[in-house]
Amino acid sequence: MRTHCIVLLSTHSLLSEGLVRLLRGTEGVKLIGPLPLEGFRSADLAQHAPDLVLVAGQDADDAAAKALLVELLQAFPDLPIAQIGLSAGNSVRVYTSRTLPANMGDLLSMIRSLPVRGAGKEEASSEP
Amino acid sequence: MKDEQPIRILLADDHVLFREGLASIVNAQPDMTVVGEADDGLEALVKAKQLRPDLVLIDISMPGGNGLEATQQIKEALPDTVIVVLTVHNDEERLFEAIRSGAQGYLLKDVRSETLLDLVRGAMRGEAAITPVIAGHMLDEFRRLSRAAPQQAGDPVETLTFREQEVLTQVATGAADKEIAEALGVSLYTVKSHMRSILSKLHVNTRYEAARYARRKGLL
Repeated sequence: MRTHCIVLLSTHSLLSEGLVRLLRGTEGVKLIGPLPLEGFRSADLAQHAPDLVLVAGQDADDAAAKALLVELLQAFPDLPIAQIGLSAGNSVRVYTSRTLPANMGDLLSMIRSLPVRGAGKEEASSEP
Repeated sequence: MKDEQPIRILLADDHVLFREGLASIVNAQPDMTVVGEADDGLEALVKAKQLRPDLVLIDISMPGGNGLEATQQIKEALPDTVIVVLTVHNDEERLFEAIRSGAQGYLLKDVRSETLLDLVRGAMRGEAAITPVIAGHMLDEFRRLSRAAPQQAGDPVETLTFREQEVLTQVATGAADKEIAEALGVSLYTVKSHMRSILSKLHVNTRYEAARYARRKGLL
């Protein structure tokens, strides 16, 4: 089985300790952390080369977490980041991005691969 | 012999990952075991009656059943069961409502696991499961009540200012602080300040009690 390396960044002791207990020892998971989110920079991540960054905190809208999230997505565009917040209800938010060659064909393929949401559906149905 | 048995704990929290992690922490203790988990207050009540745990660790804000109502109902059904609230809400209203509902403790979720576990053990010995921060809130309340006591001769509502009576009237309609601020054209901070003063003057602990008081006095 392939082992996924996960870096856990946290601002919440009890939540991250629970996650560590659940993840550590799980087959196929190599866990690094919990590392304090505060003061963490994208450069700190390079040495770990993770497959996923897990951000755990009380408030999903925490300004420091948001700023780091943007920084990480810019520095590692293909690296998924999952965010768990106690205030965000019973859900995990996964942020992913991908890089495409800058040509019209790939751009259109990407657009067409996306699910059609509300406004697009209305537009399509109003066509003659 | 009974003392050697692990503390049987029911966990009630709608955040499944947090609850599973907490269960893992608790189950790693030789003197504790998680006997059940619940997603909301109603399920906590049902499982508490079914499993008869020694202690319930319960969240407040859960869909489908508030933890404070569940605390009261569990205590009514199982008076010997110790209940400790574990919440993100660091506010006095909920703290005092929890204590009145029968909770033996009130802990914030940012507590460290060692502290949480020690306080759970203490709660089983009859101690209050509270951190120094929460104890500070309680001392403030005690001081406030002590200061208010000598003024209880007249009708407390007469001690309210005109503005405070306006705020209280809004509270009695069920309006939230933000709505009151908009209705009266004042800041949220001002409304909160009035609310503190109202609670103090009426000798009540929560806005719900203040609202009940206002309705009783016909302030609507």
